[in-house]
Amino acid sequence: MSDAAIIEMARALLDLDVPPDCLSGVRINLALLAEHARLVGDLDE
Amino acid sequence: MAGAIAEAVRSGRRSALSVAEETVARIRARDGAIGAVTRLLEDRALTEARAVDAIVAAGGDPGPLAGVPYGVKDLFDVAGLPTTAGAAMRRNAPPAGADAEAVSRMRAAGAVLVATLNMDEFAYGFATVNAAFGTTHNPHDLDRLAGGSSGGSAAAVASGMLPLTLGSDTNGSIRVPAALCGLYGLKPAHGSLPMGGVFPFVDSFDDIGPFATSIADLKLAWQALGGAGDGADSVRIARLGGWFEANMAPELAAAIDRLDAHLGGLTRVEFPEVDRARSAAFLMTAAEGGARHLPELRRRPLEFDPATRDRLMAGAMLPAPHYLAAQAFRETFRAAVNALFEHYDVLIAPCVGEVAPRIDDPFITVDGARVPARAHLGRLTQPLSFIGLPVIAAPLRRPGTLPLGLQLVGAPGREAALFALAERLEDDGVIGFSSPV
Repeated sequence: MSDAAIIEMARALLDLDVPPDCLSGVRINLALLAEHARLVGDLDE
Repeated sequence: MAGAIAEAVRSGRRSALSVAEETVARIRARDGAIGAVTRLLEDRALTEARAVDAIVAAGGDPGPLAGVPYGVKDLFDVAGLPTTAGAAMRRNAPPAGADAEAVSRMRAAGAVLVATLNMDEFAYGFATVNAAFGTTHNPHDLDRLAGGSSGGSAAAVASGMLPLTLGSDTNGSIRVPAALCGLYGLKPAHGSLPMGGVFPFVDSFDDIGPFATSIADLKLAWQALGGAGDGADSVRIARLGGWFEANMAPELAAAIDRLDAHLGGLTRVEFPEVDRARSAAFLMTAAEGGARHLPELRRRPLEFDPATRDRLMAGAMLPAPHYLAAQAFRETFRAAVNALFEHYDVLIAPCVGEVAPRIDDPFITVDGARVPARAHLGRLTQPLSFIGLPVIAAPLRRPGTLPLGLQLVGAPGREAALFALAERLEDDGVIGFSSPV
């Protein structure tokens, strides 16, 4: 996910401004969550 | 140690005041190197101790923890003080109007509150490396992590500053520091001990529990907090394999093999899909933690510890379908594990796969890869709290070496079986606290 996409999503859905200093850390953690989400699977699995 | 203090105070052989004064002096002398204590509550401790002594002088019984000094992780409400939850932004929060329910129960049992103790910010981490309150050092090797998030609670006991402390455990935050500091720690069945006045992290998993240097002291504290259960005459035991046996240090694997032989040869059982359970716990933690802190993340993101802020922000952004899938899987996993408990009372597993990581190299090895200790030290504890099981973390008896710990895992409501097995293993010299050398 690009920095611009993270900023846009956080602002649009959560009214949250992600400061530039946090972007790299948030991106790393989103990737980690995506990995875990893939392992858990979808609701109907 | 706690039991001996209480016995001496109740019988009038020692005063609670002298115990409290010695404890305060010991903390002043030792904590500089450890970094476990965030606030020393000298006035309160002396007041509580005098009250205990007054009851003894009047011929009364101050309770089973009479005059026992203890500390609490800095997320328990203490009347008149801000509850920091390890966060710089909460240093000046409004003071708590009353003690947490657990603190009230400890006081009713005669215990004397002496200190608040360090933690990872908002309990999100397994390291107790805190940007505002400092790093808590492992008393067995000051260059190593104490574990977290209840690292101050563990280090205060392991260093001999306090005989008892309270911590909280969401994904392993009592069990991980207990293992790394060589202590007993109890994560009770979810919801079985009072959470009133405890700063929350993840409602689905949060619990409180004690740390101690003996199983008898751990039990005393558990009972004072409200724990109860029938005795267990016969305990059916098995050994957890699969996920729980992978990535163990050779000396830990060998110690568990010896324990297995000591118990006459154990059946190996496996939980299904433990990796999925751990991932589901990870997602629920991120989502609930992120949602809880969203208002402050909006208002003042730069006042968070960077190590927790970025994780919380990402968690707040997790799409709901992933949270719901994790929640649904929890019920599937719980049913499969409960089926195993129809045949066994206690399952034995390692707590952390290796000794405490160095503070200047905070990584552990998982499947050949180096991963950050802060997020991964709980990989063996997380799947168990995911379904609310009670667990006693118990130190393997290995004097003169860095600690390694076990998890004794029970079905909900079967803490008595855990205590029965732990008492037997301690009597046999298989588990037990060893003072730092």
